[in-house]
Amino acid sequence: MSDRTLVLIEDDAGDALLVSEMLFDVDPDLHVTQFATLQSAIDSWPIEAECVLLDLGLPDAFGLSALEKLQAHVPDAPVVVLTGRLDDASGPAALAAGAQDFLVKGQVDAPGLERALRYAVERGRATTYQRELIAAEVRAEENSRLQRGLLPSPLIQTDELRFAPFYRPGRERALLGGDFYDVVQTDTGVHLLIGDVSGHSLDEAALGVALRIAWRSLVLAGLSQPDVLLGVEKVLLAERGDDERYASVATVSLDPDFSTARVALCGHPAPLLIKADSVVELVAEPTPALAIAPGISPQLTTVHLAGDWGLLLFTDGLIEGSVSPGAVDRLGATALARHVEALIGRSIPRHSLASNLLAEAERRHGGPLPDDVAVLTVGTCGWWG
Amino acid sequence: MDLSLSTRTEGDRTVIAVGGEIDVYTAPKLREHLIDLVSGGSYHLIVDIEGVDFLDSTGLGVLVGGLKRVRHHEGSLQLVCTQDRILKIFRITGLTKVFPIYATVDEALAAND
Repeated sequence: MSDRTLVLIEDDAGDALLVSEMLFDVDPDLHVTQFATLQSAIDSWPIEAECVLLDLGLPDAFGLSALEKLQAHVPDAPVVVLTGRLDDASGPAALAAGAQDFLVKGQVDAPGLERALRYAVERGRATTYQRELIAAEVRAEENSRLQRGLLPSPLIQTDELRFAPFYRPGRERALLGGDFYDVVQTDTGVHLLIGDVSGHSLDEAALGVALRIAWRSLVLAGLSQPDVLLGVEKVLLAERGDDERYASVATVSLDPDFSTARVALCGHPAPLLIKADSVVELVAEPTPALAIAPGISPQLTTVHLAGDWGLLLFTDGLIEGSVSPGAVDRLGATALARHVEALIGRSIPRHSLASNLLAEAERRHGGPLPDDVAVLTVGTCGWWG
Repeated sequence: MDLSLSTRTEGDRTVIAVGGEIDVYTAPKLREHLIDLVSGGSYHLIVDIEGVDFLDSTGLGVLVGGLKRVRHHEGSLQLVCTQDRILKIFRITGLTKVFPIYATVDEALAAND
């Protein structure tokens, strides 16, 4: 034990000397910093103190008010109070007010003092952990609120299509990033969205919610596919709050009988089309990601979808993992398409396609993927099986 | 992996050679460097990312932010890269339409944009 500091707030020089001597006997490495008034101690904060030993009979603060004033300024430090008399009720009252322990002057020996301080430090740590736990719970609640905003229920009436959304936050965080998706049906067909706000914090997650709702609103308002994206871009430019943030987006609009798909790619990886046992990228002319070069109307690529089919919309987190642990090369969309083919060949249930793809990507990467992963699997009932 | 930065001056251009990974963890370092250069009056930047192994969306955002900053001063930001892996990211995100990309620093220096 070394480099530890105890703050002693005690105006009586004799008592202060006595306490310092006792502490030196049991723990010579403990450094004691003494203040004669409460105000001088508070003025000197922050001090890296393990514990505060506070006399309740100070010239500038007396009794419980001394403790309350100290805690108001230094809420995290464990406090042990010193009282003058054995029959003094202020000791137990101080415990009730948040002190870790109380000691009666003249009644305590060196080992007793050392033990009281050690317990106080440990209890103080436990209190800190408790507080951190509560903070973590609050963050988790915030997260789940955002999650509801980012991961909506499809707004559809048809029972001819099936959907399975999937979302996994990136490594080292239980936090969501800015990946988002949505599904909306109107009288012009079924419209699919997947997107990714650059960056990985709650700000991006909140922006992702805003963009998804903007997209949903504009689709419901009946705008054309390119105009919806131009509108979402305007919302992003207005809401993003800095110059760097942009969003990659892919949208697919299916006509009412699900026989053609119109694909728009704004800086986003192409969705995969799965028919029988073949998997192809729905390559479309790429437009820059939203907010990078504002005002460019995305070009649509039309794909004919006869018979049963499945579509896989995903964010780049799924393909940015390494091809093998520590490798520089990344998985990429082509290898992903091969993984999908292999899974389809093994008749993996469609609703667990995405989780299987993630597991395979993580296996190759050699651990959790760095970025968030969102996948939207869509298909006809016949394809879904 | 970390990010390495080395900067030199070539006439009126500033060449920044970047190595390693530009991702969510290292991108702030590049961002600060670009901001410092622009604040110091360097408005014509060549960012050589030939030595970059990985670039994620945050890294792309930093380059886009750098481009916006130099454009405020009628400057330019050229990229140097021949790696397919990285060029593909620029194609997918549509950034080939935004950044002039050259095969070598000399080609970037010779270009007049």
